[in-house]
Amino acid sequence: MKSGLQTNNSGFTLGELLIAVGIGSIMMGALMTSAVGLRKSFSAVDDFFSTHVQQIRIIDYLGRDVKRSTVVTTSTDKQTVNCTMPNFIQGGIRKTPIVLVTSNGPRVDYGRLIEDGVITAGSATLTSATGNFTAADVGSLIAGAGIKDGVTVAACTSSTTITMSDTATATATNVSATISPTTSVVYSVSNQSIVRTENGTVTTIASATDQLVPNTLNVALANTEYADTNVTFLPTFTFPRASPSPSGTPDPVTQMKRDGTAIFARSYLRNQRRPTPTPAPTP
Amino acid sequence: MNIQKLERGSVLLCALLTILVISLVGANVLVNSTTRYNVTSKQVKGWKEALIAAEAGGDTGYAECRKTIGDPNVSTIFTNDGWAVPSPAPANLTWTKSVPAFGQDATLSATVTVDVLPANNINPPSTNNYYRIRATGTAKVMGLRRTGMDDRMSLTTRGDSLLRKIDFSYDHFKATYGDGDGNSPQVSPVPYPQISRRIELIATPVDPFEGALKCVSSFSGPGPASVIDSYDSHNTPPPGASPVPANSNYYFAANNPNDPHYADSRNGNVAVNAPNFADLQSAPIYGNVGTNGGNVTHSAYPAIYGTIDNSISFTVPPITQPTGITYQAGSPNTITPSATAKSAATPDWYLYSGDLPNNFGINALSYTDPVTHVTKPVETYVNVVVTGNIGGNGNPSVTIANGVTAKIYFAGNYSVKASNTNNNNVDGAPGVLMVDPNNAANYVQSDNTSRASHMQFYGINPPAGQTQTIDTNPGGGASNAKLWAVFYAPGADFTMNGNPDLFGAVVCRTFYGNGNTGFHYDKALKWLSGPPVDYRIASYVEDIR
Repeated sequence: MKSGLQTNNSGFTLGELLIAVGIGSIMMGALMTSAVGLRKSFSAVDDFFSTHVQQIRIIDYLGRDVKRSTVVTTSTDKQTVNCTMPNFIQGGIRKTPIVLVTSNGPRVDYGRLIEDGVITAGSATLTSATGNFTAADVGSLIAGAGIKDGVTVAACTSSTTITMSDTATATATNVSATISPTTSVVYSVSNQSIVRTENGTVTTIASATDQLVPNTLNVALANTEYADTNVTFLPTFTFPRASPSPSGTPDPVTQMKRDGTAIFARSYLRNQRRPTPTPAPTP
Repeated sequence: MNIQKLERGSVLLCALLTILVISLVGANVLVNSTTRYNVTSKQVKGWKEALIAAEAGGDTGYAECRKTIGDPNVSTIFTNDGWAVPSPAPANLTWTKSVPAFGQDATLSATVTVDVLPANNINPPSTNNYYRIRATGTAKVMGLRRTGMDDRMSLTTRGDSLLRKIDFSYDHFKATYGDGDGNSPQVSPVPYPQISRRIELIATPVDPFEGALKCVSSFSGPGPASVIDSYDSHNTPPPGASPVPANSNYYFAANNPNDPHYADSRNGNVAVNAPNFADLQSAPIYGNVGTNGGNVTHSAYPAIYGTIDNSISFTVPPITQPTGITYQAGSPNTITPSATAKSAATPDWYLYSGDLPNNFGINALSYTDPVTHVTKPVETYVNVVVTGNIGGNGNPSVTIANGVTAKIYFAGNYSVKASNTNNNNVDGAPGVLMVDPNNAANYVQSDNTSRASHMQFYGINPPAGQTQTIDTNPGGGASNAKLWAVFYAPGADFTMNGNPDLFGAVVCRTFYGNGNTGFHYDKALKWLSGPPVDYRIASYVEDIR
């Protein structure tokens, strides 16, 4: 009897196997290359997106703080922004402001008022029998007739006497002045991070951006002041290397990559107080 | 037996595994994308729109404050516009209002509270209201109540919620800070994910005389030998300053940066609520110049030493004839005030139907010290309403004694030579007394140091189609007269020629200056307490908690 069991044991020839393995290897190689490329691309896009979010956050942070500042300055290297703003919240409550009407207009400060100040032209000493000065007043903004803009309490000598950071411009008694604590916020670049320091408390607000290019302008025609900010970062996309450039100049390709990520913003100071006119006329 | 082995089951398994892997990859991409999309789009949008809503609320409050200009019935104005007084009513006048939902799909809302700042928080005290405007703006954050966010910031964390505080289920502010001052904190559910931002604005009144010259329609500047500058009559000139006019604290300091009062000398500001500005012969202006749509530049006007802004606008409320006044009897050539005129709150009122007498004068009250028997003038307040002209034919004059503060309203024209406008007050008010604000029986040294502020002219706006003129040199000719006064006449054409000097401030429709005229704004006029002509936001803070 001839067995009906049919087995198909015919295998591949060596040539077929080699061809199959070859094609398979090529396909697997392509697949792996694509997968790695996609992974790198996704990672780069994710990183770009994430850093972009941080850029927006920096701009929003700065915009919020500049708007409520009375003074904003930028360092020469454009890597640091200093904001000075009134202490609106004191002791967990919203402080009721003092409005001091001066010859330069009404001035709103969140501090306390003294009405018996005594100042002498050319002297930095201010006395007030009702001042109740304490060491906590050091650094507070002091404003009033005969006191220059931006003057602060430099030292507290006694409960009735303080030393100002600059001399008085007039000799007067019964001077009305406000003693107002302020909040200092500093934005600075630290390695690849940007940190916000509020009265000494440091918060990292961005970890992958590496350039802060702020600029504070006092525009005469607009009669106002605003802060321009430009934040960039270096994306992780791979680009061809640039041709060698003279030492000391930035790699143009790297620079191009960085420039392509720039975010620009302009925020106006809502509380700007124009300083005393400077000696140089500007016709 | 024919047995066939079918071993194709692994194909389905492979297909399922492949689908699973692809699904995982897709899900991973979606999760990452959605999180980033939420942060960059919805949450950033909500964050910005919440501030827009808060500022819209602030604008609503500010607009309401401006409605109180010229109307003392403040509470009626607010309540008639739908503002409610909170319960229990705070010590200070306070009103609240919810702004109807607005924005795309009405996802923005705002609540506003306006209150009058306590009087003892204003220095020096003022009879005008200073308003505090607190607004909370809320924006809906689209998407589900899930975050995938992190408030830590490092190389591995994203710090998504560092800045933007989103209330997904509960209002974090009310739960932590209650009303903002720590009162009544409570867990308060929110109907949908939202972001709230809170701002506080301070609206301060704008005084009528906050600059040297305010012109509604046009400014034509004086000659090259003239000057527009400023001074502060509070300040005594330093030794050696010259020339100092008699009974004045003015001297020219605008070209000397080392002068102790240099800063006060450069506020001779000129503002025109129109494009029409011409400094005809380039008179130096030591102050800022503003126009509404003009083309003023430093290159065209090198003698403007302050800043130039061609995009300003301002309001100048018209003057109407005062009503509801009880006048003193008669219309004498020389007024001898009653005893009640010692208080600014109870001035003497006189009505002159027709023209003011040609040689008009006002005497001051006085006080004799019972111990020293020294008699000194006392601040005396007299208001005069003239339905006709001031000056005209003949050689008219207006004279007020030392200590008199005269407010003269006139419906016709003003034409009195500067040399005949005699303000006998003195800058610094030496030797002039006033009623002690803390004890009406006592007298203390006057605190109104501005000579110009003692003589105030208010031009009642003429009917439409008619003009009003103010001429400080009728008949022409040169004079070296000096005039200490302020003019508020938004419907008048102001002419100043010859070579007089005016110390004070002017608000007018048009200004024309010629010859060798001088214009010196007294910064002490800031303290001239009159009804505000507008309100201005003087402070902006945000509660970032």
